Amino acid sequence: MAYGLAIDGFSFNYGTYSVVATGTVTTGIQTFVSKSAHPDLSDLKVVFIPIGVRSPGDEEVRPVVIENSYALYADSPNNMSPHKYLVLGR
Amino acid sequence: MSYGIKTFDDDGYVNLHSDYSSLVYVGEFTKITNPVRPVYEGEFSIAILDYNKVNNYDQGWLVQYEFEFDTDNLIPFYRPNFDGQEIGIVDVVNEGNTWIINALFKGDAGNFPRFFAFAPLTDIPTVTLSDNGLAVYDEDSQLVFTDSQPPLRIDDVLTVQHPTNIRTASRGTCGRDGTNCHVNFTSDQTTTHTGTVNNTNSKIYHVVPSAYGGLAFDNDGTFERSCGLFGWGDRKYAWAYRSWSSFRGTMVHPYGTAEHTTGWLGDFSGALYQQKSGSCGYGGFLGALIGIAAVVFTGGIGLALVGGALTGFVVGELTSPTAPGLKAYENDEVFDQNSSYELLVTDATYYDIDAANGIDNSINYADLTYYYNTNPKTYWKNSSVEFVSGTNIATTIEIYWNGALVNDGTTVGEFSTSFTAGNGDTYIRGALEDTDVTTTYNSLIGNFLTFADKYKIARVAYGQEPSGGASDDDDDDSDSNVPSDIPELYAGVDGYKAGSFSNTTAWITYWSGSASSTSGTNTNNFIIYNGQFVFFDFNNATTGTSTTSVTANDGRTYYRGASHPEDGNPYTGFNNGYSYTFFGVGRE
Repeated sequence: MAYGLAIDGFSFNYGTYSVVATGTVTTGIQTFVSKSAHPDLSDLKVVFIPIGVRSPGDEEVRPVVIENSYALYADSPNNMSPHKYLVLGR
Repeated sequence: MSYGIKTFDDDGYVNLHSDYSSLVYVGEFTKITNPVRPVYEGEFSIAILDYNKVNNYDQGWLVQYEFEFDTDNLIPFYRPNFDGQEIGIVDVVNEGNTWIINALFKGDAGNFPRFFAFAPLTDIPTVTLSDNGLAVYDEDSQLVFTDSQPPLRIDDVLTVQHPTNIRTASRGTCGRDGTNCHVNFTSDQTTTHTGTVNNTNSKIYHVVPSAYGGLAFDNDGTFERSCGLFGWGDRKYAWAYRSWSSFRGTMVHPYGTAEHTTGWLGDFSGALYQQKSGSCGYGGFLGALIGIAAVVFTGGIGLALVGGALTGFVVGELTSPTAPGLKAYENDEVFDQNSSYELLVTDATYYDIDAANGIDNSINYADLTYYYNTNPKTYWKNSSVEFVSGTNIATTIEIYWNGALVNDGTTVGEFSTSFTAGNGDTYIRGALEDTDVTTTYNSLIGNFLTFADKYKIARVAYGQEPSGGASDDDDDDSDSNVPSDIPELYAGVDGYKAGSFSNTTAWITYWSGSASSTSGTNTNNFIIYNGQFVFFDFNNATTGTSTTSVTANDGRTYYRGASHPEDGNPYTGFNNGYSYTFFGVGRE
């Protein structure tokens, strides 16, 4: 291998995402992750994982992420079904 | 960071950082329900046959998976069952250590996708470290990296979104004769997102679509017929028709492309027809009749009718609290389609999932060519016989290649998508091309329908090798002389080593003398193809190693393919003073 980390035959030179933060998205509360708190990471993504059945009859929706140059915000509308979030970074 | 470790990948991104936990593969979900395609079967319902579910309501299969694992956070990935399969994660449910996935997929019931779980290493209670290697801990002494559990490899990442509409084309109409009528709700709206890495059959995907919605159709009317003495009276009639298809957001990842397409697939449908009549009279109560019909459709269809439907079609399967929520639609609606969300792509082979669970990498699906021809017959035909009630009677599979019924005498499973014939050739079912529907009357059982679904078909010749190069995990084909448009075969030489030509396809070079060199004296070549000895150079038994193509006894040209050192090149096991090297072979 031309670059990266070689460990006893395991070549770790590929791209990946590490877990920066996890938590539960709370309805009506905006969760945010400041980019300045993670200066070594240049690419942050938020993945929302449902943790309960979504009711289309109640028109439930998923949370959304809003990003600006300073932070990532997990927006949680009132008719949101339960979700967890994972902030991934590389 | 003032201490710890940090490494980078070739794109300049951090791929290991001692402040952050890696994501690791922790296991595969188990399918715990049979796939179902629910339809409303309550009061005033009209039959929705399997054919209608596919062609009118665009319905996929709902199925549930379970994975027991002690983690607070889990990211599911799925592997499509076939090229171009439409899949959507509907729900993920977490109850203690139990994780449930409700998924929707297209295809036959047996084409359910597989789901794999990834979790933060810091969430895993017990991790077995290698005897030697590297383990990294964060400042709280939590394990964040170990070479014994390789971190998730990201092959591609995209932010995707669903189209605004489900269908824009006309859906047709159903009217007074609506007791056996269905409009067309099939979705025609997609959005394609292009990544950087091609899809293959070993790629797995994480995405949880947000969009859902439904299409609905209704129609009603009145008419009257003469009645009473001499037909002087009038009898008023009111009728009404309603149907719907509920949709979920899904995705498709076609092999051989870097495209990922968001679209829609139905999860629940229904159709109702009601007709009421008044007494024979002279008008005056038409409004009341219309009201009688209308109450069926406005009296809480969303809850009452869905509940009734569930007991009818999925008893014991999807009636648990973790079953997906289903909705009957009275109007066209779309929800949550404006959200953007992440699509993560990785490769199952990287986590040894292939070895443990049989992911087949022997066929390069990207290079397959699918054919469809009615004369000579070249297609995969799935014939199913159903009563008009929708009850399935029987299903038969016929696989034709160039006019020959290649599965003659062999039963092929209803949900199979590939078949390997006795000669080792494998046939792969492609996209649906045509459907014939015939109605037959039988005096004993009444009317029954025969659906003949004809699919495109591809053939992989016996022993056909995947393509590959020196830098791939695949076989190294860089020394092959077989033209790229000809399949290269190598079925191994175990049969030949055992003294038989059967099960052998190879170009074999042998020589006498030193086994340490690649050739000695009296070097010659012969070819065994599909168990038949097709070439030996009797006239000049010194064709040598420079010969890379020959014309065989059958008049066809054969090319020497890639070397197969795994079979011992040079092989001296015959103890006859000769050394052997084994190559693949291609036939023009």
